[in-house]
Amino acid sequence: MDKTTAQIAAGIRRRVLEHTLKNNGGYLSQACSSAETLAVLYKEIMHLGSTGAPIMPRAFPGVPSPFNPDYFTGGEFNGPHTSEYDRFIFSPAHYALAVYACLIETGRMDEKGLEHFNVDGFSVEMIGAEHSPGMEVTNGSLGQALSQAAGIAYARKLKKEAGKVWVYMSDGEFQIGQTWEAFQFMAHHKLDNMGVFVDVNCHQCEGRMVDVMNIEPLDARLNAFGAEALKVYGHDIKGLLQAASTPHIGKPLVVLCATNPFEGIPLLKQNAPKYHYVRIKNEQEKNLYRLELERMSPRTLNIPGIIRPAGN
Amino acid sequence: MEILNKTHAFNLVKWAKDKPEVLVLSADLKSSTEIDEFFDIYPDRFISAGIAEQNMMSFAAGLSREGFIPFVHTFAVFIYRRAFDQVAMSIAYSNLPVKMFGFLPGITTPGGATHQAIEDISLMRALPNMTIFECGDATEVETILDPVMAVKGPVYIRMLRGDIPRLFDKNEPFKIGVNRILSQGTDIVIISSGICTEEAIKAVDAMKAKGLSIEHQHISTLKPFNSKQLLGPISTSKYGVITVENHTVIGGLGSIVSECMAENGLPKKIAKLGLQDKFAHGASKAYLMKEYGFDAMAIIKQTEKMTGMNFNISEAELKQVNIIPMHSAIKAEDL
Amino acid sequence: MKDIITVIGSINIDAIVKTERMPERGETAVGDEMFFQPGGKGANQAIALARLGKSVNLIARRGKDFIDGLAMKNLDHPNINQDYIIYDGGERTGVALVNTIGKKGNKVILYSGANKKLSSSDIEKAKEAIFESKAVLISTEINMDAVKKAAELAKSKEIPVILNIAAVSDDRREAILSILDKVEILITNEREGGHLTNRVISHVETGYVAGKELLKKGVKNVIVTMGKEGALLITEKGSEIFPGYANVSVDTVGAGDAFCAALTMARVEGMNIEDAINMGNAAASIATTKIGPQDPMPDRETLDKFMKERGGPGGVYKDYNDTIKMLEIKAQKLRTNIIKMLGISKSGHPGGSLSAIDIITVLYFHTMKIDSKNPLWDDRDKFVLSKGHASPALYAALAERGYIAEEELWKLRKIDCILCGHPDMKKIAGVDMTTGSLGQGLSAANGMALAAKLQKKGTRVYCMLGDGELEEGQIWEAAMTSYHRRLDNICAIVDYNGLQIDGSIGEVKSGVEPLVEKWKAFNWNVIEIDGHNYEHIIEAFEEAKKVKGIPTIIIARTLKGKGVSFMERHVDYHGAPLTDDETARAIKELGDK
Repeated sequence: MDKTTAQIAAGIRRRVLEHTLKNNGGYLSQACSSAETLAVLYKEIMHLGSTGAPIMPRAFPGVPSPFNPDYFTGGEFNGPHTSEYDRFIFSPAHYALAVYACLIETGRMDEKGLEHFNVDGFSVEMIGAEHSPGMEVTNGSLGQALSQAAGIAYARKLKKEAGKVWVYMSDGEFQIGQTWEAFQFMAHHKLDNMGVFVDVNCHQCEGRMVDVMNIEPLDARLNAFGAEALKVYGHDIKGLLQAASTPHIGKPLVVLCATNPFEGIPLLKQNAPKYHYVRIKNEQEKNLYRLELERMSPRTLNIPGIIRPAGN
Repeated sequence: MEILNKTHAFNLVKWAKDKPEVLVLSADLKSSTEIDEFFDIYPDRFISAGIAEQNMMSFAAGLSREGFIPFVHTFAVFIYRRAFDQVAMSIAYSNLPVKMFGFLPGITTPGGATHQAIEDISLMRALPNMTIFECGDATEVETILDPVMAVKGPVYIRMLRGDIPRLFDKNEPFKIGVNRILSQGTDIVIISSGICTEEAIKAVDAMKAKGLSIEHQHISTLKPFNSKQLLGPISTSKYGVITVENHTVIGGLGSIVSECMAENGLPKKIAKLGLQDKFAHGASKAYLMKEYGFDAMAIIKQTEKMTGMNFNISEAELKQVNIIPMHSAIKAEDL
Repeated sequence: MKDIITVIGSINIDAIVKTERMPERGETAVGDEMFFQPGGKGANQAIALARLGKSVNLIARRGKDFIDGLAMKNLDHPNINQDYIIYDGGERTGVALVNTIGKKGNKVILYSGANKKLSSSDIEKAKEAIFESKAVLISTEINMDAVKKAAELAKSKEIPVILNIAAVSDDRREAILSILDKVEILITNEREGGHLTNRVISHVETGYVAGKELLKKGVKNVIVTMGKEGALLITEKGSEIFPGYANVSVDTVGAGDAFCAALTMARVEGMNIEDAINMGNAAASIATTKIGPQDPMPDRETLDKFMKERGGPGGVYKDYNDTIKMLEIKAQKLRTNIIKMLGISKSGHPGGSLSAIDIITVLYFHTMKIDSKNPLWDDRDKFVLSKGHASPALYAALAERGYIAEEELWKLRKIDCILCGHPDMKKIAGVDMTTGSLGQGLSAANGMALAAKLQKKGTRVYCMLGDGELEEGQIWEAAMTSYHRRLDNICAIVDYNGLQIDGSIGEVKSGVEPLVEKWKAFNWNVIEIDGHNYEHIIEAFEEAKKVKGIPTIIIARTLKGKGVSFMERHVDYHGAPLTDDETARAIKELGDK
């Protein structure tokens, strides 16, 4: 039975938390902020072709080179690249686990694929690369995926393809000059076959963005750069869906998703303002996260190692 | 000597006629990189990216993923200095067929340090999947596009513009990995690339007239580097090797040849002419080549030093050397 | 029998709102006060003259007022003959929407209504009024046929015409110019005079040039009222500036009309033009002390008392040794030197150097705190020429300011010369940053500005950007940083000459527009100016100094190649070498000015 978008979002958080526990750390807050957006993109917004059965991620094929004919990108998880279908370009590669989880939840990736997460010799890398499931361009160097997506969108216009190009970005990327070069370019060339979703969780490695390097008013800046930018609450599935259908003739669409880096896992709040990477420090803390996981999980799931507080 | 003007501009237009997949990208340097003719004739295949090179490089990567072949044109410095990460990650990593035409290599511009690409070979060579060509004359500029297309990956080209001399026979096109052997001899080996070859030809002619036996090879494929043609002459040379390049001597032609010699166990002296770990400044090409020691006279002085001879060649004599389009001294190998 | 003066002009209702500043598009500015007042230049001048004791025939048209009887309120004066005021029931009385902004002056939108119907036959019918007058005072915001007819009639009887220029537009310009041979005294403010002559009048010198041009059309005396500078008189004999009388100014509406009226009165009484101007200045000064166009008009007694107290200083001949003139002379010399340098070197960028030179002149000879004898003075202001290819402009300024020997200029881009195509801080005293790779200058300026803040120095950092380089992402990284660090000691200037190498910016497919919106969205204080107007430039730099907490960017509209007619606006002169012929022509043209 098909899952609802909300269920997919919940699944993303749960799976990422599970892995964070398993590895004693991980990019957890990214899953918290992006879960609804990724779920609604995959489930309702993007027009992606089917992958048939869930795909089992392949082993690492070796880096691209003229001598590596076996090379592939992770784009196959987003369905065929034919002209009628949309494309998905994912920029913040460190959110990879959330994407993998989303692919599983939407029936595109085999659940067992996550066993290869961060395992040597496999393509399910911790920080995604273009061969990782769901990715199709080199995205780890932040700020570059948007320009590449613009290239793809421009090319698709030249080829008169109907499909759109969707991009997912993190707000930190708006500190990078190349992002503004890209928007200037997209607006000038009227790339209205592009839609960009931005995870505006207002935090970066070093802390709050307003303290590190302010980017606001982001919507005003983007509109001045010729985009059709609007703000929505990033955990409101209906709002996200509506935003995606905003008319944007002659302009790229930008949906600024205001999100919380701790959404769905209140325990995370203790890390404020440093959410970028969660490192579980001790058994006691681990146990608290286990309890969170239990709360989020269907009853059938048995979470090993929980020490219940007395009286429970 | 025949001097050609705007060779690339006219050539590109002719060449690209039946290649609709080739798109030309400009970063606000349309006429400075000789793509204005192309723009006039194929405006739909011309994309202005504005002065925004980082975006242009990643954007080109996106285009190439969809089956187009982007021909990026700008000054060399803006390719590898300003957008190195983008070139490395968006293009080179994925082995995408983005062709980067870098103009104003080395000291070919009076624009000063900001415009002079003096360490581009060094940096671009370090990138896996990257192929590097350098044009030395009008014939090479005219015939480089087929080889550029033949490479199934990114190519960086040190390109020449404006008035360019024709040094090589126009019926002997640019061939990937094939050195042009301009003189054969056993006393000393001179290896030159780009605009330095014209200077080397002058020096070699003058010194040959004084009885020196010289092996002179012109290199236009810097990566992947083919050492086969060089190993024999180097191993038999009496006094060693001189490399001449329009680039810093760290990481460029001189380094490439040195690596080759070491890897093949050839115990010869090598002198590397070029920018000696220094930035250049704004002045004329002739002045800078002289000032930084890689013009014809510098080659002669270096040869004198290595051979212990004194040729007594004056500047005036050098000026009189008449360069006619050269045939390669031997037929290219079956490469 | 009193002297009779005929006034021909408009009757309006002024809707006046006082605001601190004008709103931006999409913004609502809050007004401090709002008034409906009777106004219109004709009415104002008539009332002013009536108060000054003259008999006035007012020829004008009015329609239905939107507040009944408001327009005529003050015109019911025993000295005003209303016989020639035509009531037109089918029209509305004209309305002027006046925004009076701080102390900077007014912005007016005029709906002419009945005024535009005033025809030459109306004037014909009123010719007796004109013929019995000692002077005719006409303002031009009415139908030009009527103005023309009135001037002709007056001239036919040798009655002096005093013409007050108002509401010049492209289609009215020629009509106004065509009647100037019938005019004794032409009175205009800077703005209208600028429109009339297709120039920018911003200071005494430019006012003089414009006035000279008008004299050629046959008018005998041109008076340009120049706000706080005073009134500039231009005649065949030369020009004189008559400084205004300082006063506690609350509202400048009507000051111009008071000036015209008092000057006309004085002329009718036989005063010479110089004394008449002083009268005008005095009346104008008094008129600014109260709000509204008509209420503050002084009566004769007040005016005489004021003149007695403040004295008639007489014209002060300005030898043009003021700042603006000095800057203009400097810029002229620098322009000539730029052309010479480029002519000798046969390479370099003339267009962008000439567009930037006026701003650079103001920086180096007026605004910046620098000392050429001590180029590395710790507390100096700094200048980063991010558009490094405009280096000839900088070099010329540095030489003129004494940082480098002038002979060095003639060696530009030559062997052994310290002056490279792009400026090098290691080689040239006075160059604060090596630039040339576009887009990097502002980042460097940020560093300098932050350092000054950390060291608690008063240093201001000026950074000149080209418009094209705003396409570079690094600029926006820097723009973000300047605000984030609250670098209010940064003042960036965009030399917005609108041309890149690849053609005009619109043509190059990248799009730096909308510039103002972009910089505002990046939280900068944005000032837009004419980059060749020294007053604008000086004022903008002064304003920038006062803005606290955020950086300022001045978007200066400029012309590429400015100052050399055949180079202006031509993209061919971005980086093209100058031929000997072009050099000679350019230098000759600059020398001729």
